[in-house]
Amino acid sequence: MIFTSYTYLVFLVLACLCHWLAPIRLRNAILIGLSYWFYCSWQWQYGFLLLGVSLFTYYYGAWLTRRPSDGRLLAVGIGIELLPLIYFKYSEFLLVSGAGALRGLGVHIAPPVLDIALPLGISFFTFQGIAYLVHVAAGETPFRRATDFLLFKAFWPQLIAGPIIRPGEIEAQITGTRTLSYPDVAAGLQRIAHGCFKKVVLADLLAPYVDAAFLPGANPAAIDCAAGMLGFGLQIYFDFSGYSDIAIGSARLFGFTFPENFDWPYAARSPQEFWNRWHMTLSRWIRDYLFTPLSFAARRHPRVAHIWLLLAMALCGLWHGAEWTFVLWGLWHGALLVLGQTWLKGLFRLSPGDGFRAGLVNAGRCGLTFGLVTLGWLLFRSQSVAQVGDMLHALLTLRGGLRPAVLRENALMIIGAVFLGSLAARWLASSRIVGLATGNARWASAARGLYYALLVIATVIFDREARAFVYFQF
Amino acid sequence: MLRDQALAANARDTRLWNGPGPWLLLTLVICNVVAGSHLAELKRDREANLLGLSNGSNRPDQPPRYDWSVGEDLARYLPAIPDARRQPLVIVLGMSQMYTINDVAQGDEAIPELLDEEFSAFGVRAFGLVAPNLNNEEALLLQLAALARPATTPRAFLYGVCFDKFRNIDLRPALARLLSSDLALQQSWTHVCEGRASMYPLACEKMRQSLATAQEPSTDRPDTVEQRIRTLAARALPLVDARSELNGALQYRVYLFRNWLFDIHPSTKRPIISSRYQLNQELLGLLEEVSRARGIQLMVFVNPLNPQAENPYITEQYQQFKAWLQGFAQSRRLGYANLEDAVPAEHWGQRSDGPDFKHFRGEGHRLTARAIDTSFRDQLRALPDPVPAP
Repeated sequence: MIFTSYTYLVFLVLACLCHWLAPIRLRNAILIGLSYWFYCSWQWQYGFLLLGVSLFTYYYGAWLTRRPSDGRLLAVGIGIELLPLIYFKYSEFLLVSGAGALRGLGVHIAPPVLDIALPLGISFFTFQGIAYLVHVAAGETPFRRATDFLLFKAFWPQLIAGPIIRPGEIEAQITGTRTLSYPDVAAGLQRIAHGCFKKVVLADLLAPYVDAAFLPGANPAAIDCAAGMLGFGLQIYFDFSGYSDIAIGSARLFGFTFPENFDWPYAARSPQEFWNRWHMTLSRWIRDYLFTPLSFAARRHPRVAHIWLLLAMALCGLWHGAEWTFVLWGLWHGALLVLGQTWLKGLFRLSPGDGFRAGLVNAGRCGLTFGLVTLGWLLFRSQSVAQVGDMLHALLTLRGGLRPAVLRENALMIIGAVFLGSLAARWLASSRIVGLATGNARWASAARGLYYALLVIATVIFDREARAFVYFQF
Repeated sequence: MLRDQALAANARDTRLWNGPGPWLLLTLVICNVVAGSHLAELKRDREANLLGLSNGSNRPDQPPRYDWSVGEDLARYLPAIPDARRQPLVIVLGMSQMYTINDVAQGDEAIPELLDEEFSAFGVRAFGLVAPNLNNEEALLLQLAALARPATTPRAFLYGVCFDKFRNIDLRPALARLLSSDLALQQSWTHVCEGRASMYPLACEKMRQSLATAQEPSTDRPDTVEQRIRTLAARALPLVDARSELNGALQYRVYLFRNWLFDIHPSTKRPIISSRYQLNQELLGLLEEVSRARGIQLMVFVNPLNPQAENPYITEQYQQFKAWLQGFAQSRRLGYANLEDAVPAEHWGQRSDGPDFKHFRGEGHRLTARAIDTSFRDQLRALPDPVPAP
């Protein structure tokens, strides 16, 4: 059951009815049941994995509170939390990389093909579990009841793709009495409509063009590479932020307020600002549970802090996928962050004031950051380091000039239109027009109604299943 | 019954009625009414865009002798293929030229129908698996779909290879749905590339990508709860019912806009896109290998081209294509014919923007069918008898 399916829509309506019409004391139990149903609709066996990991985290956390502060116990707990993630997500990567390293030493071993199906959301619920153990070890009060913890861990809107929620952000909402209000329903539905539009209309529209540009061996020209990278940057943003919107909106319908995950990341004026706007709940997780402890442990050697930053970002890359290209992507961003704090500090420092000159300089910084981030997507999307090399070579040598070798005019037009549309949306969001349209005037209500109707209609028409073949003669 | 006070108060919130909600609902209701009233027209437009005949064939008294859905509902027409266990069968693969008849007249028939009649004289049946703008990945899928059952496994494939289709890639949505819903087809799709990835790297990677897309947790499988909900929604809401037609109409307008923006006309010379061309070359190679592995003959021909219409081909590239196809056929010992000049100028038709360089009138179909028969007569007459059905 994916968020953009009709089944999810029906599920959401029925879940809302079940939840709000039930007695208050039963509501959390209903949400737990529905969450496991949602999760098991993919592969029911993994429901046991989720339950097992959840029970372990809860009881280990409870046990940790009864022990005097002991870093080793916390480390053991984190290690156990990581085991399923390592097995399901990284075992093949580790075996292949190990075999590659041995090959370099002259030992030839063919790694076995494991073909392990990855349980959905395992990266997210593992990080959530680690955060919980760290919080408890740091002296924060653990969840009192196991059922509350089970809901924290399994609540479906955040289970598959985040936001990565911390215990303190949701505990009061789980244990307290939630109420349904008009603003909650309206905000929730609006977020869901935006999320579906971003995912179904924009991200899925771009996907085939990006796939074509990144087809291994396709020998793309420079313009294909540039369009492919730009297209992928837009695709991943709309895909991921669309999913986050649906998650946040769905939770809101049940009276939960989740933290935001994206805040116009491509409007960032420095790499650091980018990470404060992109996948925000992951960024702060990396900062608080990886970078800060590493830096703290080596506080007597402040000069190596940048190495920890690089390491933290490399691990962030690896979290996104078990391939060296993801590690390189993490290192690229780590390097940008380090450079942004050191040699290029002046380049990314925000210009004070709001005059024309300051605006122009900040726009230049925004463009530079966007360019660097977009270049990074090449590492993220490529299927091998060799492909990265080939596409970089094409870009640097301007291979093929302006004539595409992979994409047709349609692709360039659509990618360009989505890019320009995004710029226009950003401008509109900060303009007075949106402020006026969110007012209470009758025309503003009508405009909003029409706007959301258009989002719904576009989602219906652009849905993958609705896509039609159209004959073009030339 | 509402269980708490807040919930009850919520129902009385005036914003529920004064906010955007009623406007949203009103707009959706209006759109549904409009979509419902234009549904038939939208379906007609879509059919016209696919260049399909209104009743599938100009001879409705005959059973289908090609896929009347032109790739949109192939599973429905596979059972119409003459039983290959009773007599030798030839599957005709090709694009819109195979079935589109300009200025259609009473008694006109499409190429697969004419071939079936010609071949029947010596005990061979023909059936067309045709679709507009058919590219080689799709042709390979049609081939595998035919090979999936003994009753539809032919003795020969006859493929009209069209130069400008080498610029197209990807499976069209309906064929991608067919792949996603048929596990046996997925297996044979995967099997095609086993041991061949080094010779056909682009094609195998593309096929892997297409399969991965088809296997995504999606909405496309016909026997799922999702599909049932969609069917119910389509019954209740004309907007959902017309979603494919609206999608097609919108895409068509984007296409017109693209032509306007880039100043593209039917005669605008458009260089072939190199990697797409190479990909389609590799896919044709795989199509031949699949045929050879199953002991099935493959015959290829260059499609007829209107000698009087200016086409969008760059002459040099087109010549290279024909030379390559001939060399390919020779190196793999395939039947080959160049039917480029098979149809004289007077038998083609007109489009609103000039002479149609791709589709002809009924006489063009007769001439092409005759040319195919003449070119491949010896191989077709020597097709071995089928293995008797158990």
